Amino acid sequence: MSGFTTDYQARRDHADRLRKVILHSADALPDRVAEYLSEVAEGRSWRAKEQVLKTFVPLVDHLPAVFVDFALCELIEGPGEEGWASYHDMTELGIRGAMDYHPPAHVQGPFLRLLRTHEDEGLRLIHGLTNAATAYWCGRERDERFLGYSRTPLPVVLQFPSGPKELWGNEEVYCWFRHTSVAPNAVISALMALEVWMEEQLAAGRQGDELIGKVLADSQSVAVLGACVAVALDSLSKACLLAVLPALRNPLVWSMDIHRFAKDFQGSPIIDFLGENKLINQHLKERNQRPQRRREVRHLIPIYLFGDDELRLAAERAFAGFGDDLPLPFEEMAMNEEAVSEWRAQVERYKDHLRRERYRRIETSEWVGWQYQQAEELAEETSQELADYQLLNDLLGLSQWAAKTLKEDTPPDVAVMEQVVRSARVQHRPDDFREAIISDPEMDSTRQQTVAAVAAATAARGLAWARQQGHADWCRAVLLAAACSPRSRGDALNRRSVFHLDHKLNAAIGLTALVAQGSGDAEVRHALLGLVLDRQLQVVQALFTGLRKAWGRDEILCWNCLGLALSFAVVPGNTIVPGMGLAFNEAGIARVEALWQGHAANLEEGRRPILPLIEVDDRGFFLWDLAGRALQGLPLEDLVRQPEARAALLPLADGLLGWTISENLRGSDDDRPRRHSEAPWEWNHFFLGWLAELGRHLTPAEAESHVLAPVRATWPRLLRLAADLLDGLLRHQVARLPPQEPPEPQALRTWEQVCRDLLGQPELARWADEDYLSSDWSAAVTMMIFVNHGMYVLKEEWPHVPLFGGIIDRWLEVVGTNHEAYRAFLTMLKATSRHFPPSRVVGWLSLVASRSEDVKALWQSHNNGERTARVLHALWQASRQELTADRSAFRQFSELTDRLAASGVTLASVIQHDLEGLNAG
Amino acid sequence: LSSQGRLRPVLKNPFLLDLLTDRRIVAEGAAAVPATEVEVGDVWWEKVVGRDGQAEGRERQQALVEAARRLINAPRRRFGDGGLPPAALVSLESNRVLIRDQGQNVYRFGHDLLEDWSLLRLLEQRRGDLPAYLQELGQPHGLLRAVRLLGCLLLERGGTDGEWVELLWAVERAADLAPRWRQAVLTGPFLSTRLEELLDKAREALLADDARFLIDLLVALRTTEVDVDPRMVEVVSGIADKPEEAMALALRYPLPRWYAWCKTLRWLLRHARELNEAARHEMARVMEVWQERSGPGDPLRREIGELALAWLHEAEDD
Repeated sequence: MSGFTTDYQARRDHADRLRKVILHSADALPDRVAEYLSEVAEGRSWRAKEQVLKTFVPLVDHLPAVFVDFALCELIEGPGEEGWASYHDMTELGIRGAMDYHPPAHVQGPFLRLLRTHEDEGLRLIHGLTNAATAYWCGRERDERFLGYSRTPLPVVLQFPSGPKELWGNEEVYCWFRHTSVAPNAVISALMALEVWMEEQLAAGRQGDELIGKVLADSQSVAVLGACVAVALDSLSKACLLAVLPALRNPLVWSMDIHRFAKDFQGSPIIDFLGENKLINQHLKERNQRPQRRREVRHLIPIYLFGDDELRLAAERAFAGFGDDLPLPFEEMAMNEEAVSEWRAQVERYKDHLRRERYRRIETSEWVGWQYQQAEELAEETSQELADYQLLNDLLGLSQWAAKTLKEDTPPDVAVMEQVVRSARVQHRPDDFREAIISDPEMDSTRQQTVAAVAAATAARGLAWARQQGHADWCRAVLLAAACSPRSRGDALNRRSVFHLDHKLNAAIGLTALVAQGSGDAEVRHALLGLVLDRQLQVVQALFTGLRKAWGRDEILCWNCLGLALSFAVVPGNTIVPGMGLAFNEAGIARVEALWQGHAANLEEGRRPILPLIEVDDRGFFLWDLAGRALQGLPLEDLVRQPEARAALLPLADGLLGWTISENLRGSDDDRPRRHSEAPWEWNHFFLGWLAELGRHLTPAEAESHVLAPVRATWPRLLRLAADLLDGLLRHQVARLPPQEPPEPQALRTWEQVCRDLLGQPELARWADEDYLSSDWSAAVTMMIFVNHGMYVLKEEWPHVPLFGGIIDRWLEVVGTNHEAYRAFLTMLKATSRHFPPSRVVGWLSLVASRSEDVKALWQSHNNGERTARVLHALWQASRQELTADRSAFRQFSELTDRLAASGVTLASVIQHDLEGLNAG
Repeated sequence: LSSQGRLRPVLKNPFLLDLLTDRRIVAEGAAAVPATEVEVGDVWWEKVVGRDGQAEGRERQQALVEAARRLINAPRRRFGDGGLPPAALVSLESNRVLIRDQGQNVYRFGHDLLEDWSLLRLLEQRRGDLPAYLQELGQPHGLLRAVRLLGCLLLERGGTDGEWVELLWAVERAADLAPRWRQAVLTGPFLSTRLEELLDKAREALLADDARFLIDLLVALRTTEVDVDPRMVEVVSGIADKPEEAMALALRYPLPRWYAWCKTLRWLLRHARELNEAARHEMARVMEVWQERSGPGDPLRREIGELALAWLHEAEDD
């Protein structure tokens, strides 16, 4: 790390601190801080601007108006910054800082605090942002550059006693006050805060009509109306109900709120794999339990109709002429008679809810309610819709059974299977699968896909039962038809589609299951060979996964499928149309036909094919994603035991490794340097893992010659393969057994050998005291201590990590003082320190501190100091007696603590204080 | 007494308050009311233990120094009475300075402050070769506060900072000594209610040599002169997997110990122009914590805000 970088960072951090101090001085120096804010607003420093927005607490408390002016100016894009061509317009909507306020929540940003302390300013900020985003949304809808079509939004007009009020937006805009919406995080957070604040105000006794009136006064967006209706649904107070009544006169509001209700009803997913936002997510989960999440506008109607006179009369007045003047959401809709007619029918259905006679009083000892009963003519109309829904529901039930059955290893419940197969057979039609099944969700497609899924699950998990019950032939026929059906153009284009109901996917699963169970006749085998050439990789993957259990039954089929897949994967340059990707020319089409004929003939005549050489010319392709899907299904352990198979697999491995190396090196030899994004990362990761697994079944000498030596020969030019090899060795050798079983000795030897070879590379030692590792080294270095992408990759409870103590010692000697590597080491220790003797952990930390050229810098970067103290603190809590009994370890422990405390790590001073409490000796 | 601001920290400690009400400590006329822990300790040593220089008092003092020496290596803070003058022991026991375990000839100190004050007397005797003595004792953690008191005492009693600086250098130069001893001597002034005055006394040493002592002192201020904020612990315990993790998270936002921070900041504000860039950087960290964790109406907020504005303009001009 150069002195310049240190100085620059130190000065930048210093300036950040001073700015923070200034902002926190808003109470003591309001005028000076206000002046500072206007300087920042006029200046160019985005760091300073960002800091003002993030350090909002003192500003909200002491300079609310100045802060709101600043926030509006900074968060709303200027007119020159618009650009409606990118995907980002979907979420940004003219509001800057798309990634701030993530995940959106009422507790994010200044909104709730501002509303609680200075409500006028809070409302000004929320309206400013929401109105701006809504106006942007209107402009975007009118501009066909965004989605390829345009439409002209019409206002949602609310008839208030004071006069009409126009709001803008559709059902998606209406939902912006929900954290799952697609909108700027700042706007969502602001609206969520508004809803919470309104609930608090009502709970504190504020009048709902006055509150809702004030909140809506300056709004131009249906999003704010959404929050107001939600609050009314929550409180159900008369004042709130009266306040939202003018809005409910408009059927569009019903439609938008029912849409909101449907989204709420589906549940609001909270995704946080790394647990980074636990506190916020706890808040969100609590919010999702609010009563208004389970209510919508129609639930309010009986309260109006059967409420006191004031409510009833107000409702009668408001709903008189409901929907007569049909409001449309977009101008263009008026030209679409069908859409208008559907919308009018929907409004009629809404209108039916306004008739008192449609309600039946239900009374129990605890509550009284009103149940809505639909008009007969509407009920008939609805019953047809319901029948469709019922069918769809049934099909989804069948497909879920199939998916669950295929996932589980246990045999399915016979009674349920009987019922499911009978239902599926009822749905099956003779001409199914003759035409291409379209990929869009559509009832007939779903029906055929479900039939194939049930047939596959039955063939795979209940074939014996199906034979007894006479369903086996039906399963076979359905699966064959599905396997041979033509692909729709859309499906063929989408090679990486992942869809568990795909009929060919299920055909591959079902037909391979038939072969594995000895029912693979010529037609089935032929169909399976055909599926090798299916455009969707998920089908090929399912095919080879299914064949894994079939090699013992029908190795000719399996070898031919493998041969065809690999031969097809090697695409010569002269068989494609130049510049058109994988578009075959005449020669290409002839080649594929020849490959197919050859392998089909092999199959018929019981011949094993010769696996192709993996030789790809300069202009050609190697379809590594296809090859990978074929290789992943090979039962390597069984195959390698057979000399003939072994003789075929080793040259294949050599060829694939040769291609992998040359492909990864391409660019370092060419003039054009290879970009990281061009390297076949997915293939590298898969193939090195596959090699690691293959190596496990080879003799040590074979493993050395076919796996380790060729990979090692690429270092240090190609370190990315080292990281993938380590990952593969971990998954397929070192940690492949259940946790109670230690790794096999050979696996340990291989791991240690690879690590020692890497650690012996002179280039690595040069990174010893640097702040970071080169991108080439980073993954390999951290993988040696079981850390990848900042996470410990093994299970924390895996107890065998002390077996690697020796290699960790060496690792620390070579690279332990590198700041980034040390950070990974601390990650490893956090997960594993309980498996090591405390003296060893302390010894390691002490060794790094003593060897580091600048231990203060090491501890300062990546928060390493505090993280070191956390490891020491955990050790102290868990092993106090053991540590104090070992004089040498205790001396190192206390010295580390001292040094960390002297470097400004507060937790270390807490440990120090604990140590003072020991007796004087 | 409570009207004297500088006495407040002393008066907040019930044990010290109890001592101060002892008629033997507050002399007639009370011209020099003890105001710091060192001063209270001195008076306690001379008047309560030493009985104003009487022979009996000297014997009691000798017994306590020996007790302190034995304490250093005593398991569970208990030491035997072999060889200690029985009369002194009985008398110290009757004064609740020492407590005898029932039915055993084993003693402990009546309060941990009395331990520290007795250890201080022992260390004072070995001040000339303190590093070697600490080494000889095995650098026990239990002596840490006594060493801090010694640092404080040297600065409080001395006309200049000479003796304090000398001790600081001595522990710094001792290669085999753990870093905590240097830090203890350096941060000794934080124990004094005359902190600002002591910093004035040590001004030259603090600013010398690129202000390295000052920088280390400020690091220690934000590291050791802080407490865990219980509100923060409550907030983070909901998201932390383990209590120690909650503690570590909460310590990222600690509460400054009011007196030491306020006095140090006041001194820093007075000397802000004399600080080099590195010292400014460290001071800014202290200012940041203060401004964030104190509230409207608290002292120095205005001055700190003004200084930050001035420094930021300077930094931007550069």
